[in-house]
Amino acid sequence: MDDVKKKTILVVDDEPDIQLFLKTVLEDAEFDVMTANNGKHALERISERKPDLISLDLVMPKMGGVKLLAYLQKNPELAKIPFIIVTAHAHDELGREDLMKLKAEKVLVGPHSYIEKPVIPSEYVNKVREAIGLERIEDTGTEGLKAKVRDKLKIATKDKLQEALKVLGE
Amino acid sequence: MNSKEFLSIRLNLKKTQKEMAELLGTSLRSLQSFEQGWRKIPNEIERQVLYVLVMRSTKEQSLKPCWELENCPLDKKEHCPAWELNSGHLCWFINGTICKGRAYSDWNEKMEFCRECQVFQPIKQLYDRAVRRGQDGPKERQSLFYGGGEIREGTSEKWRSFDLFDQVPTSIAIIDRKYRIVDANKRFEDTFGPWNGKKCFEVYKNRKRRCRHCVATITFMDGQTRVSQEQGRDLRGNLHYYLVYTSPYRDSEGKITHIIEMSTDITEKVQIQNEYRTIFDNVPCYITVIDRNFEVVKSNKHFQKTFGKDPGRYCFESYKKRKDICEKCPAKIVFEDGKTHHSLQEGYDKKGNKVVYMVTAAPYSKEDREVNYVIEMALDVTQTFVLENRLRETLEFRQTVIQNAIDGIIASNKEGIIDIYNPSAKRMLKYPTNKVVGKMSGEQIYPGDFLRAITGDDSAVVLKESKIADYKGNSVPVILSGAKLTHDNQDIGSVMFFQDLSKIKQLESEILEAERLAAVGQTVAGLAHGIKNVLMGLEGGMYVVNSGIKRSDNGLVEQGWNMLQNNIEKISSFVKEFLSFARGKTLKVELADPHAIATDIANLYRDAIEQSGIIFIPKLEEGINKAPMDAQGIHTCIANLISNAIDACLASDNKKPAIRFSLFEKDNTICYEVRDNGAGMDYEVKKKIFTSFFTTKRAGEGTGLGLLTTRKIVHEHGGKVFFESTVGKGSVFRLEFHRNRLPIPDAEKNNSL
Repeated sequence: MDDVKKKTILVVDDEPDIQLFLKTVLEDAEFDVMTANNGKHALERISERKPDLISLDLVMPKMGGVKLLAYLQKNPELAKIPFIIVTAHAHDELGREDLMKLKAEKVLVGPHSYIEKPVIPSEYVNKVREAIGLERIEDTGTEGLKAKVRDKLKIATKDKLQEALKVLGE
Repeated sequence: MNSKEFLSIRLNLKKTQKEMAELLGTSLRSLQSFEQGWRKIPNEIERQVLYVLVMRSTKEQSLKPCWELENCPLDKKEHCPAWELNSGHLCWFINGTICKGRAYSDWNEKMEFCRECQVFQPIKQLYDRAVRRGQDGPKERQSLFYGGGEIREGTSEKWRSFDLFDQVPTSIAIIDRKYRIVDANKRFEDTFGPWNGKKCFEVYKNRKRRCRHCVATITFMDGQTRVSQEQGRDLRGNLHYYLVYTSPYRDSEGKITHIIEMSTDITEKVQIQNEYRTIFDNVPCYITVIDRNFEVVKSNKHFQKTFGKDPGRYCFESYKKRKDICEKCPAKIVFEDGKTHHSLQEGYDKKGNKVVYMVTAAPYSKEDREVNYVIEMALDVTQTFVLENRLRETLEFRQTVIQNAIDGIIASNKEGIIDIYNPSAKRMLKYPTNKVVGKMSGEQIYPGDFLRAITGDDSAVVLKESKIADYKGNSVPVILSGAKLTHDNQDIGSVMFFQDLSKIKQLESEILEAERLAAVGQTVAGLAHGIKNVLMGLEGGMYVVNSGIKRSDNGLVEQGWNMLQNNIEKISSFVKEFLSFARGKTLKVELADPHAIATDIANLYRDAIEQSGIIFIPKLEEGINKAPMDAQGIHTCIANLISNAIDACLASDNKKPAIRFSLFEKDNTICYEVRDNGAGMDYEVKKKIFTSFFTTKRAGEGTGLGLLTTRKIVHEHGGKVFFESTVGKGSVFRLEFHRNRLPIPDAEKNNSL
């Protein structure tokens, strides 16, 4: 997987735990990983080396994700970098408005997407791969299956669930 | 012979009336009646006058006897008395002459014949001359005055010597047919200057030609005596007005030879007239003179200006544009009772605008006879009327506003007695209106704090929290504003507006409860989120540990293990904080000393602050009254703020970080304030500080519940959290507790239950 090895991901999160977790996940998926604690810090890292993707938290002290994105949008070169927002606040008062705004302003389109915490490693890796134009890796392990089932459950109707139960029962 | 000829002859003979009467053998009275024309002059008197004239004449000797002139035959003249008495030139004087063949026994018959006889002609000439002479010359005017006047017997001499001609207060001039002034009295000369040889128009009017309208000419033509008003210039050139009597003077043949002009100076009268006219026209009211037919016979300019030059024949047309007489006609009433009446009337001016006027209608009559005219003097009060209406409207408007105001309104007059007590006030205070208005004084109802405020220097007061006792003595919480009313620095009373706060108070406590519940709800939602985060920390830790094992990377395993430990710690601190948050449901309210609470915290944190290299400035006001509070709760709140301030200071680059902690009371509000010059907050942070689990602190150092707990406790005390913050400059957090909103101490609550 030489092609993957070359890709560099910048993980921006103020919580060291999350930072470490995401870093480990991405390293396991054989990406090169840089980390930053906040927006300002992230800008410094970007100036050192341009990443292929930015994974960022929205709510951070000093410079939050929204401000960082706004800053990146001003620079045509940097605006092209795909990003994934990793947030726990997609549906609460801390992040909802910000996300809506990003969508409304057409910042959160195309390769750019968001993922909600808690992060499931395989899902996160696939989002990252999709965003930088790589194939999804179908996880055949238990975790991967669980994730698939979870995704199916989210969109399952009552009938389908009953049908599934029937099959499982047999 | 007429009276004038007789008079002329007497003057020619230079006889007084008395002398003449004696000469003619008649009484003085008879003679006067001859001269004044009352009695016809008898023939025997005329005969005697002629005789006197002849005998006085120097021609008497040269008169030829009649028989010579008439060639009377001898046989005839021998039988004629004229021949017999040798009086041929006096044959007309002797009765019984027979020149026409027979003697006339009747004197009248004889004279008729004699007048035509040539013998008589020289006598006639004598006579005419005597008449003429009597008329001519300076003697003439005496004849006019002494002869024509009613002179009493015995006084004529005296009057004659007294030159009445010059004494009368009238200028007199005698003008001949060529308009020359032939004689004038002294007064005339004094007024108009020298007249001798001048024409009347030169003297009177300083003109070169005859006047266009010449009274003299007319008088010469028709012989009528007339009166006219003329203007002229006096010696100084001033304009004068004269009333002129112009009379013709006739000669013995009845021909008008002269006219006499007697002029009286009426300048002063005319001026007064003009003044009255000016007053009449310009007095600031409408004046009309109305006759019994209600026709306007005269009106002043002011009237014409407003109602038009010719607004109508009748008063009702002019004033009111009506076709018939008004129902309550002021003029009619005056005609009926002859008294002056006043009334208010409405009419329309020439443009059709309404005019309101106050009429004084007065009777006008000459010499106290029947009232023939009414003078109406109308003072225009339209403006006043309009203002009055407006005032009335304003009053009604004000009354309506007061009556319908939602606010209770009570006002007292300068004696302190209440005269406004509106329905809203009654609804709130329940005093019956009739027991308040005009009976109670403001002091009996106004709350003490309001009274103190308005009797002090403040003229207008707003009290957000006050209490008024109602009719039953219950205390009604109110918000009120009011003022001492003054006019020209004089107290004219006071007014108070107020709203019942009972309902609002109740709503407030309901809101407080709702807010508390909402805070709990938010916290529960936030808790789930927090748990999610912890869960992720745990899952992540496990992943990292697994990954470390797989990679045989001990360092990574250790990092993962730390992560697990952190998150397990987080869970335990969450549980503690959440319990303390939830515990707040029951505040322990008792009378606490705000200063003591503050001092406690100051002592507790002083070391920690100063050890962190931060300057600590406590400013705690003393002598603040005790207040019902949960001392422990307040303690927690302030501790939170100070702990945040320390963090803000540590997070900033400020070289001289400081925290100021103050306690003070202002406007009945107890305030705790924590001010730092630390990092400050940007907009995004400010927006979220009261949200549960929001923290800018490093993991393990804050849970994001501190400010939320603080706000919850403050709200439960009816207080507010106020904050201000600028990035890089610092923040200030202030807890404000209004005394009127503090909770009821538990002890009292139990008693009341």
